[in-house]
Amino acid sequence: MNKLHIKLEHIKKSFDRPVLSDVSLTVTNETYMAILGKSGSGKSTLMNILGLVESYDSGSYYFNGIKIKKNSDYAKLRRTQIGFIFQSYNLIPTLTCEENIRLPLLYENYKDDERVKLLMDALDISFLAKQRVTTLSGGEKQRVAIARALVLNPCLILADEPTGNLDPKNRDIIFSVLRKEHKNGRAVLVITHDEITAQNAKRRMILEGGILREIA
Amino acid sequence: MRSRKRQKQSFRYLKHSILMIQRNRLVYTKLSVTVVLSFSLLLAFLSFTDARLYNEYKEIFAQPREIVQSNIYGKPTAFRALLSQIKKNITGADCYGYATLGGYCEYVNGYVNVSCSFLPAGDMPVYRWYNIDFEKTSGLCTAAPIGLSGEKQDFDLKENEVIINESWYNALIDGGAQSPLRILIHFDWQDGKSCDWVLTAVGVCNDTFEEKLLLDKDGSVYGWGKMYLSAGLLSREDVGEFSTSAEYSVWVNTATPEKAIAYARALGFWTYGVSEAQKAANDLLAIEKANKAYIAAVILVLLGINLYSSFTNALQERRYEIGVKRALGAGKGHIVRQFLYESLCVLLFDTLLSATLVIDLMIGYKAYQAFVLGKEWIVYISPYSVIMFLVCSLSLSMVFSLMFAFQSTQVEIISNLREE
Repeated sequence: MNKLHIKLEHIKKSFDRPVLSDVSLTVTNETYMAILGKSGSGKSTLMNILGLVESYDSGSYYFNGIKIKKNSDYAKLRRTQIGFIFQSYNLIPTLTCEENIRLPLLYENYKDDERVKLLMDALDISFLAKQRVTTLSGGEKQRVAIARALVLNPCLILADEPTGNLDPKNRDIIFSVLRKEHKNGRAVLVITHDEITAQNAKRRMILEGGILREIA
Repeated sequence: MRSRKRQKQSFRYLKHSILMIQRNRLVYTKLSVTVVLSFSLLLAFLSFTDARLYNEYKEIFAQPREIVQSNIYGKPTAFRALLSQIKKNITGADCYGYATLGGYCEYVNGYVNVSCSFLPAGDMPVYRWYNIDFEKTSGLCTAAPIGLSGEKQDFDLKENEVIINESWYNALIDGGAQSPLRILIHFDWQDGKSCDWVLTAVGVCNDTFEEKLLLDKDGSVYGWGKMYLSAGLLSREDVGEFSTSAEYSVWVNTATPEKAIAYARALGFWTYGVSEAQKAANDLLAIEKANKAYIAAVILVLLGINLYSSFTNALQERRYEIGVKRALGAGKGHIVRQFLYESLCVLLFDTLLSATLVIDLMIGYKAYQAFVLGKEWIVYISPYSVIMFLVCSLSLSMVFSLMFAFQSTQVEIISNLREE
């Protein structure tokens, strides 16, 4: 697994009001962290900044020693180092499950049928391969989204409310996958507002008033 | 090795783009309706304008530009002077002159007005555009100068022989005339004298628009007959005032028709030069071409606005997909390439579809002209219009594909995802 070292220092971000006031955070391969917070507290914004899909206003952000500049595009880093799992799955509805999972491989010009098959078997979605994602249940969609996030072996997994819409059975499947991936050396950051979900993580932090602090 | 990898990558993108077109059929069908209508409108305008101009001017351009026709009435001196000037001053000119006179002939129940052309013996340059088509009919024709393709032909009528036009020949046969056909031609001169010749029809030529005999309900004929006679007849003693009553025609075939026109006009001839007519037609066509370009430019702008709005709508429906792909690590280049391939594939297909539609439309119009109006209408599109259409459609395709592709990368990833 690639070595990971992310450092966020005094990150600020505002929309109509300040969302992140002063966030500092370090993430390495050993990190398995849950970030808690109320709705609108800025958890998703922090996740988006970490996932390089949103820019920050001030502060500094280093990803494996690379200074992440504001308003620059880091598609390659996003593609190869980060696996994003969204609460709303963000699957492309016009594609089948397998086509969704293979999508990151297209941009990396990489054809790894073995890896796709392995992931689909592990997540028990092989039987859904040719099915359009619009016909799937929430749990199935989330498993497809996880397979897609892992297909390029990223060293950081960012999961934004990954179990928010799921029943307990599917929630357990998702957490067991995340735990397994963490054991394989990937950093896992889970955003949640659910205390029970947060129990699975090694570290728990809370975002309140735009500031991130550790929960004992 | 690297280029092979790139080729493979391009092929994968193309495959993915085609897959996305298939999966977004509805979006692309909506877009294609606008594009096909727009492109068809442009192509139909260009091709129908071309076909109209072509059908209007095709006869002028089918004529050999080397030909000059000059006519003068009752001036044999000017006639002889023009023939001699051309032979003397225009090297390589092929010059031919004859006289035409109106007379009348006996018919079963009356007379037939006849236009008589006195043709000199020997080589005669007869050209298709002159519209005389001699045929062997009922074994009458001996000279048979058929095949008016612009080559010189032997045309050697004896003094008692004549060639008549088809409708006259048919009228004579219908009236009970027997072979060999004997024709009595009568001329009245201004001094009160007259002459009559009895001639034998040896050939039949086709009718022309002006010279055609028509049969009336009561069996009488009206219109004009046409007769080709030997110029040798003009040396006979009974020709009377022929020289001042005839119309003289000079036909010239030369690489420098302008010179022949100048000589003829200087001598007071009415002159028709194919080169002049073609030049005038070309001038008109240049004006029409410029007008076509202006109108095409206006259509192009309107199509551009139309396409811009259609592409923007199509893109609006794909923003979420773009957001997801960008979040997964697709670079702007990847998105640009995907949407460029998609739009080029669709627009290329739409261009072909438009061309097929317009060709079908033109064939339909040709059939309408032929079967309903009884006119010959030739389907024609000039290379200029083909190029103009290709430039317009390809440039519109490229511009809007690129715009479509670049626009797709301009919205922040997260806002695209939020919009779903």
